[in-house]
Amino acid sequence: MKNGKFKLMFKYRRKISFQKLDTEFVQIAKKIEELKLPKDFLQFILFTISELFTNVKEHSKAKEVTFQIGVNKNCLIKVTDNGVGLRKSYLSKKIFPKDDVAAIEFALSGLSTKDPAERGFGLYTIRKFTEALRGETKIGTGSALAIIGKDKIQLKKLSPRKKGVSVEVKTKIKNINFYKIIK
Amino acid sequence: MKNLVPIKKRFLIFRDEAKEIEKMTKKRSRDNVYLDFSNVDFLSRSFADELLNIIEEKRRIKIVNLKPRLEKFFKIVTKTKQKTKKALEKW
Repeated sequence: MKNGKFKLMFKYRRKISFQKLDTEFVQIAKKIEELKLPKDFLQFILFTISELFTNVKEHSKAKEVTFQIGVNKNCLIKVTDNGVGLRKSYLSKKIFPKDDVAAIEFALSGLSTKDPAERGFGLYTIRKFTEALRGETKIGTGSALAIIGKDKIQLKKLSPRKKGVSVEVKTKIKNINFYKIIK
Repeated sequence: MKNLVPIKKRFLIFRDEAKEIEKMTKKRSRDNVYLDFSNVDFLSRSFADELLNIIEEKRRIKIVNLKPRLEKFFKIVTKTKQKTKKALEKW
């Protein structure tokens, strides 16, 4: 269905095996390119998916990933893995968040579980984009759920505990200056 | 151009893809090797970070035919790496 410049109503959901993340990224990217979204917004979507997929590959020890994207008036991207979760990932690199909430705070501050010379800024940058787009990011891991909106973070307890990590990014579709935000 | 290595993928996401490219350059002679990025449309930060690590170590590897927006992206990742390095040195 087309409305003006944008092809609206696009939904895609898929379970992806860990080994197929790269080929799946290519398939997803091609489908999203067909939507003819604003150029920098497309960059934002591809950037977000690539950051979330690399997080899974480099840190999660997950076997399977559930990927979901919905494009309507808004855009929703959700990546859920069945891996060790944020806190255990930090602990394995001798970084010690006291609980799952602290692990989310570490990730949002840009503290990476990788070698310090390769510090990661994935979730930190995704948060910056979401704020610029006046959207919302939800991060769930273990017993913690963080809902991050413009200038505020809401923390909730998850029950039952969540295995792995789930990241959901919901924004309006609009033009942004991708390279200004990512700086 | 001598020693031109065409990069066939349009999307480069993971660190191991940068390492695969490094392997491809090893098969070439000891002169400069030029990675032809004309077909590449998207780079992730992880990939860019890893490729920059490789290029820093092996200065004979050069990137050519990079699209302007990807060049911008490489510059941003380079700057972030430098900032992080400086911060770590101070720390």
